[in-house]
Amino acid sequence: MSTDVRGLPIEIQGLTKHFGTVRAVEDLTFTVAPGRVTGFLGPNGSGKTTTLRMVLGLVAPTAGRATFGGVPYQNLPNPGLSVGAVLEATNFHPARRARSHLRSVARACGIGDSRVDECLDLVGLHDDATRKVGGFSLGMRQRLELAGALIGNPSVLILDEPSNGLDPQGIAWLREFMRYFAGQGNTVLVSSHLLSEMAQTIDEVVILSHGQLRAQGSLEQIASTMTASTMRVRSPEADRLAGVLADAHFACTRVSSDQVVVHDVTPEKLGPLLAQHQVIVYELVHEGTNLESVFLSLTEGMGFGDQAPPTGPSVPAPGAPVP
Amino acid sequence: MTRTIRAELVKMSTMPGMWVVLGLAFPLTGLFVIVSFLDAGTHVFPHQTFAAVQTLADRRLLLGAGFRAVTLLGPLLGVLCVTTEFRHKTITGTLLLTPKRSQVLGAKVVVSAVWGVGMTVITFVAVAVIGLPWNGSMGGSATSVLDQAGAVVPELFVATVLLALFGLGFGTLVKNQIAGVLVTIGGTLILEGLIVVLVNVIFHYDLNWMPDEATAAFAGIIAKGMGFGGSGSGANNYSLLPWWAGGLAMLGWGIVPLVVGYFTTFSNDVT
Repeated sequence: MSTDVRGLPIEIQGLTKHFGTVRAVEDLTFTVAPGRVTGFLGPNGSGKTTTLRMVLGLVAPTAGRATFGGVPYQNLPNPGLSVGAVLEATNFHPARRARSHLRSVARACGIGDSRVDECLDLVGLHDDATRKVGGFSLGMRQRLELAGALIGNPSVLILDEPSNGLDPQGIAWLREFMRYFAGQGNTVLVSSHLLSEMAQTIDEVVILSHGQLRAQGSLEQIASTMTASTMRVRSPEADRLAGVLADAHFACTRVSSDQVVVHDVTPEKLGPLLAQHQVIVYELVHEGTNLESVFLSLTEGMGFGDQAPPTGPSVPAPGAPVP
Repeated sequence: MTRTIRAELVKMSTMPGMWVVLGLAFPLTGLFVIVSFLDAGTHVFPHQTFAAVQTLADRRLLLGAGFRAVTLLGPLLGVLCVTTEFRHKTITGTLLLTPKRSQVLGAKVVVSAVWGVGMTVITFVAVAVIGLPWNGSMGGSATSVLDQAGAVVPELFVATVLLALFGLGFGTLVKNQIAGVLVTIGGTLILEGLIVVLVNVIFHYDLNWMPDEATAAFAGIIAKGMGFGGSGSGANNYSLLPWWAGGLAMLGWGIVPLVVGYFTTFSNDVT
């Protein structure tokens, strides 16, 4: 990855939006750094789109501010040259041709038509340049929207659920493009409601739920901070194993006659303990931290450290409900 | 601002609806060319005859035959210019590229005016292609008609621009395209006339500052030949404003809704 920083940082401070009595976004503060792909994750209705629209000056915040390198979007001298945004796939006049749409964007950015063809080539729509947008598939619209965002050769790219409607090849292309774009020192903020979709692409993640920030950091940081790391142990001495774990104050769950799941533990902690007590082990599986479950737990309204660990060191009998 | 105007020009020129409205100015003007020849001839049923225009009023009526067309179509230019953005949600992209909303509206004012000028040109082309040859074939003089250009041409250009501005203001206020188009056409053709006549008959008050009447006052040279105001024909036995007051009233009909729309609907969140 290039170390040259070309993109502007996006700084969001205390951003809040209330629609009447609905608190869509509440006191949101985070920074999106250049040279990284930052995922903006949260379930549908969590306030992602509202936040992005506030960042881009389309929605007036109730409180707080968002800036690009210290400058609010509305005050950027020629926003199209600094920030490219893909918000929805419906922002086209259906009777307008793809090239005409991009020409109007180029005019607004004050740049020539040659860039229009470059961007059409870039997103693979060159052969469809003279087609009316009304006949485009959702995926083609997404590509056209992206072409429009790139016309001004911006250093910041904001994408709202960009893979909606894209086929697998399109999604793969988009991932590669985002990685490449960020690799050039640019800033990328991409929203999604699916962590699995973004996990391969993003460096940083901002998790939002019910309009509130739940977590920010790298995926590794979030995974390590979470208390969801578990290990599954298969042993012919499950009863003795349970006793050892209880004595060591580990929370665990008996999932079968010879299997115990140990919560909130790492292999580095559990391995020596089992060796010390000479427990026979047939299988020791680090189930790790399932990112999707982390995401789900965060976005269900539980924050870091808020998750209640399984109660007590006791090991329930096989078949008993898992705490 | 220049960038925004150029972008708006591209957008407007790639909207088929704008060309349809512009194109309709030609046949509609042709229709009023026919009316002007009928007016010059015998227009008493069933003995209608057409005749070449002779009187000053008829010559102006022929040259300004597009007046009625632009009264109907001019506001549509402005309405379409702004409501299309909301109908197709292109306003999001527009405001991303030009976040200052006053700048967007300013560009739309300029572009609507440009299209208004284009529409006026088309009406004169219709008169030149249909009216003048036909007038000549009935023994009329093209020169005598064109002599009135100094009076008629600027009046019609400015009137069309004011009408487009009126449509733009109204469109900004309502945002809904269907409502905008229907109210503009319905208001121009039916509603306004009805209200003006009813108020005049019942309350003996001249609503001569209403859009259509104000336009007629501004374009008095042309409009008087069409039975407005002082001509005393039909139900229009009320007086028009002076031309300058008509122009100001039209400007007000454009600017007031534009400003109100800017501070209300146009400033709303784009969600």
